[in-house]
Parts: sequence; C-alpha cells; structure tokens
Amino acid sequence: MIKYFLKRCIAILPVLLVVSILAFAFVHLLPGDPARMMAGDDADAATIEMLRQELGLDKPLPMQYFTYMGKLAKGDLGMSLRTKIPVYDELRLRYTPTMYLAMAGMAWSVIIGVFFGAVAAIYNGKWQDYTAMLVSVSGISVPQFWLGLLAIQLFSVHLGWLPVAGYTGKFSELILPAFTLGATVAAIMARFTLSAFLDVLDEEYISTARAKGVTETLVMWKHAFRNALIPVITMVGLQFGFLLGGSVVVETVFAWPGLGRYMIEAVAVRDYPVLQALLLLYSFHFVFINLLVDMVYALINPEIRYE
Amino acid sequence: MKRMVLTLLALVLLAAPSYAGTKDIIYASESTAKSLDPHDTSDTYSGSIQRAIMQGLMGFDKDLHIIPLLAESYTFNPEATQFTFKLRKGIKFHDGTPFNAEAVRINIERMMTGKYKRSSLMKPVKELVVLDAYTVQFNLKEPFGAFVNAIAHPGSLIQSPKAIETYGDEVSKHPVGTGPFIFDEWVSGDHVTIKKNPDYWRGEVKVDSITFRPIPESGSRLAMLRAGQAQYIYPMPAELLKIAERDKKIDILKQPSIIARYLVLNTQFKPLANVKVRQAINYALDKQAIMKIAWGGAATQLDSILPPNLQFYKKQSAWPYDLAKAKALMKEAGYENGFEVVFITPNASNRLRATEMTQQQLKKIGITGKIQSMDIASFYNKLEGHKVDDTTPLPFIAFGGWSASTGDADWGTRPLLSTDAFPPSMSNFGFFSDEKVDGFIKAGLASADPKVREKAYADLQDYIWDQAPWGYLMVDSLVAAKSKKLTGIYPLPDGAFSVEAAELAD
Amino acid sequence: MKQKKTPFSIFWHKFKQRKTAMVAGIFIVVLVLTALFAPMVAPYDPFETDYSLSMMGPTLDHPAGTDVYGRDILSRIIYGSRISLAVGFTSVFVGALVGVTLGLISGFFGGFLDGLIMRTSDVLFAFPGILLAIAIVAILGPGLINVVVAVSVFSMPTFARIVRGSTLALKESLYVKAATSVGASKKRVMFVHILPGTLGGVIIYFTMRIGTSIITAASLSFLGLGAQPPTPEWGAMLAESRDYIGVADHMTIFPGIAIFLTVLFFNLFGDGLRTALDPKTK
Repeated sequence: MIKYFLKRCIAILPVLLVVSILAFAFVHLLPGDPARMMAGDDADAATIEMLRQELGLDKPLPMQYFTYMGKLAKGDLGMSLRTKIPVYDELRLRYTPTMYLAMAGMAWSVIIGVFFGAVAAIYNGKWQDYTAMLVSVSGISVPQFWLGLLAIQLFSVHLGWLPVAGYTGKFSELILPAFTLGATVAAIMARFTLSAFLDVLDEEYISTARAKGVTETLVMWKHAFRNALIPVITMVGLQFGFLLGGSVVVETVFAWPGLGRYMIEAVAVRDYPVLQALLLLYSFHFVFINLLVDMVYALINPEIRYE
Repeated sequence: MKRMVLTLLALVLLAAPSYAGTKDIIYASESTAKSLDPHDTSDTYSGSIQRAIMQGLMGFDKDLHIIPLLAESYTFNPEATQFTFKLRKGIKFHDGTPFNAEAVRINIERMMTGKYKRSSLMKPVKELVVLDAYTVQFNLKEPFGAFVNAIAHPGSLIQSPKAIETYGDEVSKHPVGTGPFIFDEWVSGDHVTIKKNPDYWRGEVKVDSITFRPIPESGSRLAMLRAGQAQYIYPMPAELLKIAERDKKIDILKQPSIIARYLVLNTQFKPLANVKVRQAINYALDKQAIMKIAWGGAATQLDSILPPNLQFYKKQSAWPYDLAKAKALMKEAGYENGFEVVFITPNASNRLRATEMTQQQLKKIGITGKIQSMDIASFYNKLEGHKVDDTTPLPFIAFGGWSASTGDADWGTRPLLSTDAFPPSMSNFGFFSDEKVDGFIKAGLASADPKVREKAYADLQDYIWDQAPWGYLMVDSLVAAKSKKLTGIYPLPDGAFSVEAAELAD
Repeated sequence: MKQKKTPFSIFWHKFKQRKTAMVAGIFIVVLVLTALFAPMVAPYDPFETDYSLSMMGPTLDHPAGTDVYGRDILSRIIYGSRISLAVGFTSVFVGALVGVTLGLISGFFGGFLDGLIMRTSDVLFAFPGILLAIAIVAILGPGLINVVVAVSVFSMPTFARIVRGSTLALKESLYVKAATSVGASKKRVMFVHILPGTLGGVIIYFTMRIGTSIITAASLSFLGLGAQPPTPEWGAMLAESRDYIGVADHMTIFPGIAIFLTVLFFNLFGDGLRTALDPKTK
C-alpha cells in the first residue's frame, strides 16, 4: 500500500515538471507586456522601461526560465507584478474562498446527483427515470454564467431573498454561487450514479439477495447503493478538479474573491508569476486528487491495489 | 453515504470564514485595489482610495480646478523653471509625525529616484530646495508650464516620512497620510477598509468607515445597491439607468469627465493619410447614435481635441452627421469605392459596441473591414507593435480613449498627437505628424503664464480640429449611483472619486 | 424467440423506447435543417441594423424582439445555429479524429508510444478544460477558428483514452487474434478489425461532447475570447445582452434558450445512444 502510494507520488513529478514548463511557455506566449500594463494607460516609454528592468523582463527568456525554476525549486513562487505582494500570500488569501465554494458546490451536487441517479436507476424506464434524468441533464445544458446571471436576477433582485454577490462570511452568500457551480456536476453525478447502479443491479449478489426474499427496499439501499458508491467516489474526485476550473466563470459573476477570478485578473494584466503559480496549483490539484481517488479506491477494493 | 455527507458538510462549515459585522459605507466598484503607495500607482481606482488617506501639496476640486491642500500658496517665475510652495502649519500625519518641508523633501526625493511608476511626474525637477521648515522650492531642468498640475496629480501625494522609513517599499501595504481617513485593512483581491480620522485638520469626518469592495459584474453592482448591500456604486452601468431611475431609494450622479473617446486613424496607411478621407469619416459617424446606444447615453459629443473639463479647452463647431458630404469627400479623395481596414478595439462591452457601430456606419461610405477585439494588454501590444517606418502598415481604425490625469492641456495633446509621441515612446498610435501642431504644443509648455498657454492651446485646437487626426466621438459622463441616505461622495472628472465629505443619514 | 436480431435492430428497438432520445433526435434534425436553410427560414437579414428599433421586446413583427442595434434576434438565432452547430461539430470532430488515432496507436502498439501519448494526455487532463481553452485562445487571439482549436485540444485526451481502453480489450479478443494468425497486416488489423469495435464508445462521447463544446464556445465568447461581432454566435449574443439584463431580458432569454435546448437535446440523444448500446439495459 505505502509502496504503491510512493510510486504514484513519484509518477506525479514528471507531469508537474512538464506543466511548469508549459505554464512558463504559456504566460510568455500571451501577447502583451506586463510592464506596459503595470505602468498604466498614460505611461511614457521611460517608466515602462524602468519597470521592465525592475521586473527582470529585459533578460533573455531562457534566463528568466532558469530564474523561475530555481526559485520554484526552493518553494518561492515570486512576487505579484501588480501588487508586489508575494504570490504565496496572494494565493493563500484566495484559496479559502475557492475551496469553500468548491466544497459547498460539491456537497449539494453529490447529494442531488446521487439521489437523482439512484431514482433513475431504481425506476429504470419509468417516468421517475425520465424526470430525474431530464432535470439533471438540464444541469449540464445551461451555460454556467447564464444560469448565474438569471439566478441573481430572480433570487436577489426580484425576490430579494439572497445577497447579490460578495464574500463576507454569511452562509446566504454561498447559496447562489454554490448552486450555479454545482449544477453541472450534479448532472454528471446523476448520470454516473445511474450507470453505476445499473451495473450493480446486474450483479449476482443482488439476484441472490432478492431470491433470498430480502425486501426490495433493503436490496436497493443496503446492497446496491453501497456498491454503486465506489465508482461514484471516483467521480467526486474527478469532478472536484472540474469545479476548481469552473470557478473561473462563477467567481467572476458572483464577485467571489477566489482563485478563478484572480486568474482572470492576472491574465488581464499579464501578471506572469501569478499565472504560473495558478496554473501549477490547478494542475497539482487535479493530479493530486486523482491520486487520492485511486488511493480510496484501492482501500475499498483491495484487488486493484498493486496493479 | 450519510457519513460522507456529514463529513462534506463539516468541511464546508469549517472552511467558512468569520467576520464580525461592521457598520460602514460599502463602496462597490469595478476594479480592485492594486497598491496603496501613491508614488507607485498607475490606476485611477487605487489612486482614489489613496486620496482619502493622503493628500498632496495641491489637489483638484470637483471640477478639476487646482486648489491648495497641504500647501497654502505657491509662486513661480515667468520662465516656468522655479516653483515655490508655502506649506500649511500644524498638520500631523496619522502616525503623529508632523507635516513640514522635510516630509515633502523625503517624498519628492523618493519619487525622483526614478524607481516608481509615478516618478515621471518629477522628471522635470532638477532639485528640491528646503528654504525653511515650511517653504519648499522646485528648480526645474527646463520650462514646464504644467508643473503645478504634476504637483496636484494623485501620484504626488505626501506620505508620512516615518512610514516610508519604517516600511520602505512595503509602504504600499501601510499607507499613512494626513487625509480624512486612516487606513484600516487591505485584503488583496477583496476589500480595502478605511476608518475615520478623529483629528482631521479640515474638520470633522462624518462617517466611521468606508469599505471598498470590487464587484466586477455591472449588473450585480446595481443589484447590490438596490438591495441595500452597498451604499455607493461606481461605475453605475449606463445600460441599466432605466431601472435605477425607477428606484425611489437611490440617486443617480452624472458628471462630465475628462475622458475623451475617439477613433485612431492610422495615417501610415495611404487612404487614411488623406485629410479628406479623415473628414469623410467624421461626417459619416453618427455620434448621437453611438452615444445613445453604445454608451447608454452617458456621454457628450467631443467638440474639440480636448474635453471641456480640461484646462485651456476651446469649443469647436461639432462635426454633423452628414452622409452625403461624407460620400462627396470620399469621391474627391479618389476613394469612391471605398477601401478595407481592420477595426481594433479593447473587448470591454461598450467599446466593442462603439466599434461595431463604427463598422456599421463606415460601411455606408465604402470603408469595410473585420473587427478584432482583444483585452487591453493585447490591444496595446498590437498598437505599439507598429513602427513609424513599417513598409506595409496595418490599415487600422482603433477605438481610443484618453484621460489626461494631470488635468492639463499638455497631457491631453502632447502624448497623443505630437511627432515625438510615436509609439513606443508615447501614445500617438495613428502616427499623426504636423509641424504646426508640434509648434503649438511646444509653445504651450514654454511658459507658466496662463495667458500665454491659453493662446497656444487655442491655436492648436482651432487648427487641428479640421485636420481630423481622429474620428471624433465623445466625452464620457461618469455615472455613479448611491443610496438616498448617503451624501458627500461624488465622482471626479478624471474617473476618481472623493469621499472626504461623506455623510450617512439614519 | 427464434426471430433473428441484428445488432442494429436491437439498438433501434431500445433507442425507440427511450422517448426523450427520440424527441431529441427529431429536434436535432430540425435544427440541422434550420441551419442549412437559414436564409429561407429567417424573417430578416441578421446583420440589418435599424437604430430606431433598438431593444424592442417581442412583437408580431419580431417574435424574439430586437437587439441594441435593432437587429432581429430570431433571425440572428437562426443564423447563429449554423455557427454553434459548426463550432460544436467541427471541434469535436477534429478532437475525435486526432484522439481516436492516438488512442488506437497507443493501445495497439503499447510500449514507448503508449507511454508518451498517455503521459501527454495526463498533462492535458491536468489543466481544467476551460482554463486550457482560455490559454489557447488568449495566445492565438480571439475568433471562431481559434475557439475550435481550443475546444478540440481538450476533447482529444478523452477520445484517446476511450479508444485505447477498447483497443486493449479487442487486441486480446479471439477475433483479432484469428485475423493476425491468418497474416492480416498490422494496418489492416488496426483499421478493419479493431477500429470499428471502438466506435460505439466514441459515438456516445462524440454526441455528448458536442453539447459541451457549444457551451465552452459560448463561455469563451462570454469572456470576450470567442466569435467577433457582428457574427451572430449564440454565446456572443449572450455576452452582448449581459449589460441589459433587467432592462431588455428578451435579449438574454432567447439566445440562452437556444443554447439550452440544443445542448439539452444533444445530451439526451447521447444518453439514448448509450442506453441503447449498453447491453445491460432492457
């Protein structure tokens, strides 16, 4: 088990190395000059040149890359060009809001998604199935930004039930963004639960249980549900990464001070160190969560452990 | 399952941040604060927050007229090379440090190191002489008639010398000044809070605190105001004025700005080098429709190369919308069948609309082309990538805008239209070059005597208007909206705002 | 039960049972026809402006109202179907073409190539899709072609994985082993014996992916990275209408509904296909 874990951890490193190169390449391929953006709309050439030197942008690219990697190896993510605050501090500030939102989005989408998926499976082919799947498929068919804007319009402006936007720690502020963010994932969870359920219902032990006279409800909830949950957990992990990515759009609409909106702001002013760090962080999450999922999976189902 | 749900819920609750409830004014804006060090700030929004904490020797009033703040008065010599300021006595910084000539010297010399984004303001300065504890004298390298504007610019605010000494460049996170509000908290990317200065030298401050909160989505901003979750929003989205006007709980503030909007015509491209074509474009533009539709009515027609609120503005006769004349001019110029261009614009939605309308309207005189919208960084990259000696110049018409942040005619013309300002050195993106224009611009700087300067800029405006270096469009009106209970916060013509006189009724 | 059942008749039988999928199929056909015959169906020229009609709500003359420039929104939606369908289809097609080829190579040859392709797709996976798309479009510049490129790139790894998986399984099947033993060339085994077997999964994912691609393209337009005006792309129409929510809701509702229904029906259709191709469902 530990050996497997270590092996997997080591396998992450080359992926992250490649991502770091890609992240560096990506930010430097973006058209536009950070010094120009930092200097402001009405800057003169001298100010821009002064900034370029200060930010080290006048050095040749390979040198900039080695400086960046050297610092990275020491755990130094550099300084935000825009605010001159260490990137680490900036990320820390925005990490909590994003995680908070992603977890809330995940929580509700798992509950709703699994419920709908289970209903669809149990009543396979009946009207409950259709309704459940129709509702959940709707969730992946709506552009998130549109859903968010309409939800604000309805619940905050017309009905006045919920705050419009912001992040001051009230639970009510979380509802709309989490709902919007989770809608897509709820749909994916529902479909996935449905097929996982159908797989399980086909298994022999279910037929056995039924043959033994175990009541249908018990069969469903005790036997089928528990086993269908394993692939569902996998999906939770995978979708978590998706939620982090989706937060880019949702955080913009809801003025949520998280990583996603930060990304958009950083792209706008070409804040190289911030962008590199964000790309690394996002990929790291994705890879790390995959690893976690595999570990959980291995714990539950010992047969795949040493594969 | 149940356990998993509980675990997730617990995680969610644990991750919830906790803030104590505060009783303050919430100012919802479009932007986020980037720095609180005025010498190293290039954006108007951060500058506005700084102006509530710190003050300069001179400042601007509501109409962008220069008023004395920390200085009582100033004098200058006729050659515009020496400016002397008498300072106000008895003022203390928030940290208790007294304000005096020494404090000014430390600030100005910090700017003069050339290390900061606003160092350029002090570029004309040769030396600063402390004449006595409350008198400072600036000696300039060459005549610079607009120098008092540079002193009044928000980039020249005076910070506590002790704070500069203690924090160094970290002062951007620990601003200390003499203003009506004391810095309280800055959470990068989220909010800035300032609180009342109980010992403010200009009188009592009427509110306890103000929190500046970025709400980038314009519809959300208005919704927050209407729901009472913010007391002041800027910019108020002009597209939604109809809704705001219906709401009895809020007031709309409209104020002319110094932000000019125009189309940059690339004069490197042969057809656009022809003055008749440029005039035809000005006749073909339906300015009224663009102001109404693209700008939601929050604009006035640009009727000189300078917006009305800038110093030395002189009104010209506006270009009417006249398609017949436009077509005739195109014919005279030999472009009866038109030509193709590229329309370049930043992708902010109102600019994109204005460009789209430009495309629709110029099509009627045969000027056609595709739109390329891009974010600001790419936009500058594109425009500044052109060199004066490009053999195949890109035939572009770009949507341009300019806010002369010093409030002076020089900064409204020289960086945009003088031959010295070709990119990359400044922002003359259309490569417009005219000896007469260069002459007027030089004359405007050669004296600090307002009469001499006024004459130079009047001549400049009269002459250049018919040369049509731009497709003249409009001047932004700044629109803000506030709760009826709130008074004393208002937008300033340069897009900044003043909160000093804020007052909140119960 | 002696009646002979071909795979297709089983599929058709099950698919017909899934009523939502049938409805979805019909809708998609109608949509494709609308897109093909847009000039005949649309009541107005989608580019014709009339400032005096700016932002009129739905009327008999303009059933979906007009936009800020007084253009007929219904006509723009109808013309927009061409763009959304083309973007959705092309981007997934390109993604599938490259992804399937790579997956086939990866699964069939294994070894170094397999490792290389799969690690590359790991890296692509490690970037959340929308970020990857933003990155690509930000570098290439906004515009529909670049959107297609961006969306294709992030469809590729999934196609590659699906095909690799089924290739690995099929490679071990008796049928393929028999073909190899009678001396069929590698190329022939790959394309004639294995490829068809992988297509079921590919088709399902393909259909589902079209919906996602349309949404991604719309999101990119929303972020200012997609179609350039005056192109009547649905996402761009939504982006244009964003400033007017609350003043002229019809500008946002109708293109939004167009995207929603199209994506919904592609998803339902995909669901139907999956159910019908899945041996476990009845």
